[in-house]
Amino acid sequence: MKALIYKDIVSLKKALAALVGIVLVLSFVFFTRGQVHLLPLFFVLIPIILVGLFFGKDTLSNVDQYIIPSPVRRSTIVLSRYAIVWALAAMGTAIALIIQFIGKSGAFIIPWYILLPGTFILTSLISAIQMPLMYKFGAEKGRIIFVFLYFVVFSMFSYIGENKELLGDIVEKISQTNTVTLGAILALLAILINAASYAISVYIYSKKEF
Amino acid sequence: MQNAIELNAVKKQLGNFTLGPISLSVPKGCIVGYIGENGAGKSTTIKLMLGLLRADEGEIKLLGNNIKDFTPEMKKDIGYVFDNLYIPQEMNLKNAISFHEKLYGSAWDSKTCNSFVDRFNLPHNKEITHFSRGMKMQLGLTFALSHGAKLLLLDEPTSGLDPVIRDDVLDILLEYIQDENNTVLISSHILSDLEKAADYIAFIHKGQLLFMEQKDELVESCGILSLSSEQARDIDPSAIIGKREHKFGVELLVRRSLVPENMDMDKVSIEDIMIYMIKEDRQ
Repeated sequence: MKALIYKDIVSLKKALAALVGIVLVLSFVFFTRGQVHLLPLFFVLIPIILVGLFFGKDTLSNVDQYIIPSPVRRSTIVLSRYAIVWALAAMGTAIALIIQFIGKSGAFIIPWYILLPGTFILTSLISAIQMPLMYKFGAEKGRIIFVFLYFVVFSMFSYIGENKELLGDIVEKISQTNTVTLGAILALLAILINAASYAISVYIYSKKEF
Repeated sequence: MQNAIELNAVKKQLGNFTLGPISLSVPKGCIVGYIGENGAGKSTTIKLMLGLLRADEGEIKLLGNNIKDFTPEMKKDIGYVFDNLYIPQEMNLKNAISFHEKLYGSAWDSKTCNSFVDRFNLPHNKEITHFSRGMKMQLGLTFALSHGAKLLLLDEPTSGLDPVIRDDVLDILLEYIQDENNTVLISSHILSDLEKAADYIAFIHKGQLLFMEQKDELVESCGILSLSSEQARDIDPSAIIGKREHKFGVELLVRRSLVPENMDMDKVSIEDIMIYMIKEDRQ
């Protein structure tokens, strides 16, 4: 799996460098505007962008034809891609936790056991939907879905930005209920969504012919 | 002796094209030239062996193991080269070697890899996208030979290469085959290359394997007769493999054993056999 992750990183090194630059600039902008709590939401977009780029590159170089006969299982090929998405989701989650614990952002006070699975779901959900579609329909048709998902994410950002109070109310209501149970449900949901997405992708990819 | 490749009644339907049922046995320690016109099913057969396509029927065994039961460890024994190098073209030589090191783990032989890189004089800092076709092929062959593979499956590796590089590739295959446990199956349109290197010739036409015979026996068992149309009528029809008619008469590709010994015959090449058989079928 190391080889596959390495291949993905090397083939997209320029795009990855640009993405790191964008994250740094956005961090600075969010920080100066006192909106650091929005930074983890950017990690919703990064996996979507990267997944689109990864599949596009693979199609271009026809790399599946090369790696399938190599000493890796098809499930490992799929897992390597999910590993990158999950690593980015974990990064977004970690940033959300750090921001919360530092407490300088004015973010809502959310218990860590809710924040952690909640952010993970947010940052991996769209990729979890996108990946099986990419495996099923390929990079070209996947891009159309990608554009559609872009709109969904931006609408979500814009909605959150305009309805901070509503979000606050929801969080407050939730925090008045049994938060530990809620955290457990969210954690279970995060695992289920990603496991189901992975299982579907493996099923699709294992049936594919090249 | 265990066969390196065994195909038993393998069949695959791809749209309007049907491959097989094909049965093929390749003994260890030889080079098999897999020939046929475009669309005959050469690449489909190799893709089936490599698990890129799945057979609708039949069984494929490589190095004694059914490919359905292949583990990653078993796959290390198979080397392959396609008509292009299908790895990310943004990689340079160092990246590509590092990728393969990670892919093949303990089976990776850096010494062999470096020796081929030096032998081919491949550029270290150029991205693969800027490599010439010949360089890409040399690099592909370098990777295929650097993890101790016992079976090489090569799909049109020499197409589009100049004669010098093609000759290098053939030399390497002949060196590789010095180890009697190693086997090569190479599909190619450049039949003169196969004439130079192959021990066996397998001929596929319209998805059917017409024959797999030892190259020398095949060439020696056939001959070309140049006759007038009247003389041609006296030839035993079962001796005729293919026929070419022209205004001065006919040229027949015949089995030497089935025509009178005193008849004057020209030697045949693998290319002659392929062309005559395909044209005969078209007629």
